[in-house]
Amino acid sequence: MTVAQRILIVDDEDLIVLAMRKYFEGLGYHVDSAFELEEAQAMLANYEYDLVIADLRLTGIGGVEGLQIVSDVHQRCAHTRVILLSAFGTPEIERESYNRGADAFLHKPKAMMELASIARTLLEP
Amino acid sequence: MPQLIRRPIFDALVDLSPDPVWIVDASGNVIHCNTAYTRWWAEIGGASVRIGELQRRAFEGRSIVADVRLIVAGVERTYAIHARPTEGEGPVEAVAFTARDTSRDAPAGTETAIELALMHLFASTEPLSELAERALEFLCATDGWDAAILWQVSGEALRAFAMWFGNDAARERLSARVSQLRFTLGRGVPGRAWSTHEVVWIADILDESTMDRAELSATAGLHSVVAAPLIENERVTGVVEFFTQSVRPINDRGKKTLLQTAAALARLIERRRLIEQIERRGAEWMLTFDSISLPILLTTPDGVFARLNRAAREMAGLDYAGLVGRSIQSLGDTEPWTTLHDTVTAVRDSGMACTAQIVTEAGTWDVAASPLPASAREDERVIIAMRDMSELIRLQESVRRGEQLAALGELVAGVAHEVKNPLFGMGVTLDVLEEQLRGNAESLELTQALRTWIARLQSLTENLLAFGKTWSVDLKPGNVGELLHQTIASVAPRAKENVVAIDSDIHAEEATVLMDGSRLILVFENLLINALQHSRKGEQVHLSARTEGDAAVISVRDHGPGFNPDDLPRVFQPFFTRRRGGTGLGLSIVQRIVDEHGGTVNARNHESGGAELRVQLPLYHQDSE
Repeated sequence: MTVAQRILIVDDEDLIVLAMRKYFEGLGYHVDSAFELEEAQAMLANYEYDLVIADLRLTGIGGVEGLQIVSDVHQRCAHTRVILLSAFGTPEIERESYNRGADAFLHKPKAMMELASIARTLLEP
Repeated sequence: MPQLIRRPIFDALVDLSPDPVWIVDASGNVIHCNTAYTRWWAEIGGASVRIGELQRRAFEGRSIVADVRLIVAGVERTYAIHARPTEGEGPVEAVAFTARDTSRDAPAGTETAIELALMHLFASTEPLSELAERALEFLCATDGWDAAILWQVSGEALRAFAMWFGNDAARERLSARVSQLRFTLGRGVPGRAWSTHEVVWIADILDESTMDRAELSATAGLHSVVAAPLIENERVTGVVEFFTQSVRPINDRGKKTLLQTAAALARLIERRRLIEQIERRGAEWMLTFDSISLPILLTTPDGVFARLNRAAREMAGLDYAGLVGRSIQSLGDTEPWTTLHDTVTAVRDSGMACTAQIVTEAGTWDVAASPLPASAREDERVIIAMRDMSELIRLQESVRRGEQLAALGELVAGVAHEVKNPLFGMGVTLDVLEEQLRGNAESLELTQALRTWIARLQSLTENLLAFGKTWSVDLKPGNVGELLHQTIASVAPRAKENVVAIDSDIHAEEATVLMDGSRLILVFENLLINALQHSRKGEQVHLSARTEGDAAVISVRDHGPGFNPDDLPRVFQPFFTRRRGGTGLGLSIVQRIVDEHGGTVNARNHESGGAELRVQLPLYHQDSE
C-alpha cells in the first residue's frame, strides 16, 4: 500500500471546501484546505503537494489570487499539479494561467466526478 | 415832394407797390415808407451794413443800383436795391429807396421743376437702365441737347450706363462704341468732371484730349459737350454728359442748373438702386425663409398672422393670402393653434420670450416665441419657431430603452454569475451525498431530482449570462455554410437523443458575413435545439441556407405544433416561454446576437405546419470596405 497522495483545496467558500474535502477523502486522498491566499502560501511552504485545486477568486469581485498560487506552486515544487477553477474566467486569464504552469483551467460549475477524473489523470505517474 | 401831388395820393401810390419803398432824410431817419417796407424790414431783422453803405453813397448825390444779399427767414435772397437822391441845389435832402427780390426773378423754378419731373419719372417701376434713358431724353428735350450719356463709376473707371441720341443715325454710329469706352479719373471730359467735382464744358469736342471720342463725336456731328458729376453724399457716383450739334456756350447759371440736375439724378438713381437692392434682398430673404423646414410664423401681438414660411403655411393648409391678416384663433379650437395663441398672448403680456410644447397625435412640437419690438406699435411682432421633436423623442426613448436593457443585462449577468458558485457548491455537496448513499435506491432517486433542479438553474444561469453580456463586437469575415455545419455537429448528439433527424440544405458556401463565430453559432444552436424540443420522435428538422440579394438567409423549421398566433409578437421578449422548464431566453438571445451582426430574425408558422425561424445576415463583400 502506497502513501496517500496529498491534495490542497483552496476556496473562500467554506461549504464548497467542506464538500470537496469529503469527496476527495472518500476517494482515498489526503486532503488539506485553505480559505485565503496567505493561508494557502503557508501550507505550500510546509508541505509538498501532489495536486492543488484552487479557485481563481479568493477575495472580492475581480480577484485573481489563483494565478498567484499557480506561480507559487511552480516556484516551490516542479512536480506539483495545479487545477484552477473559475466561475468567471475570461480567455485572457485562462491563457495566463497556462503560461504560469497551470495543468487545467476548469469552469464552474463542474461535477465532482468529472473533476475527480481529471485529477486522477493528472496524478498518474 | 412836388407840390402838385397831394400827400394822401402819394401815399396811396407808394403803398400800391409790392416792393418795399422808403425815404430817408439826411439824418438817416426813415421819413416815409410803404407797408411792404415795414413787413420786409421786420423780415430782414432790421438795419443792414450793406444798405447803410448804399445810403451813405446816395447822399453823396449818386443814383445807385446794387445787388444785396440778405437772409430772410433763414433763406438767402438777392435784392436789387435802387437808391435815388432828391434833385436840386445844395446837399441832398433825402434819398428814395426801392428793393426788389431778384432771387424770385431768376429761373430758380427750373431746377425744382426738373427735379419734380425726374422724381415722377423714377416713381415708375421700369428697370433702372430704361428709366435713366428716359431721364436723359427728358433732360435733352428740356434743355435743348442732341445726345446724352450717363456714365457710372464702376471700380476704377466710368462706363456708360444709359444713353440717348436725338437722331437714329447718331445712335447707330455711336451706341455700340460708347458702350466699350472707359474713362479713368481725370481722363476725358467725363473723367475730369469726376476728378474735379465740377461741370466741365468744351465748346468743340474736336479739342478733346481723347482722340477716340473726338473722332466718334465728329462723325455723329456732335460738337459742344458738357459733363456734370453725379454727387451723392460728397461721393461721385457717375457723370452725366450732354452734347449738341451746334457749338454752344454755357454760363454759370447753366452750370449751376446742370449740377443741381445731376445731383437730383444721382439721388434718384441711388434711391432706386437701394429700393431694388431691398427688393432683391427681400426676395432672397423670402426664399431663405421658405426653405427652412421648421414652421416659422410672425404674428402681431394680438395673434394675427403677418408672415409665415412655407412649412408654416403647409401646417395650416392654406396659402399666404389666405393666412396673412387672419388670427390664429380663427384656424380653430384645436392644436397646434390653441397653444400658439396662448404662447403669443404670453409673449405679449410678459414682453419676454416664451416656450411651449405641443403634443398631438401627429407628433410633438417645441415652440419658441420671442417679441420683435418696433418703434411703432403697429409694427410690433411676435416670432414663433416650431421644431418637430417627434423623431428626437423617439430616439431618446430608444436610447433610454437601450440603456435600460444594457443596465438590466449587466444586473442579470452579475446575478447569474453570483449564482454559479452556490450551484457549484450544491453540486459538490450532492456528489458527496450520493457517494454516502450508495446502495440506498430510494434516497438516490431524491438526489437525482435535486440534480435535475440544479441542472435547470445552471441552464438558466448560462442563458442569462449569454443574454446579459455586454458584448464588445469583434466581427471578422466568416463563412455561413461552415458555421452551420459546425452547428449541426454540435447539436447532433441532442438530435440523436431526441430521435429527430436534421435535414440540411445548405447553399451558402459562398456566403461570407461579418461575424463573431463563437457568438453567432449560439444563434443556430439555439434555433436547432428549439426545433428539436418541439419535434416528436421520428420527425425531421429542416435547416436551409442560401443567399438572397445582399443577404444570407438561414431558415430553421420543425413539424411541431408551431406558434400560437397570439404569441407571435412576443416570442422574442425575454422570459416569454410556453415550454415547461424553458427559460424564455433562447429567442431573446438569438435576436440580440443577430442584432449585433446587423441582421434580422423573424418567426412565423409555416404554411404546411410547424414553426419557422428565418435569420437574414448582410453579406460581406471584400471590395465594399
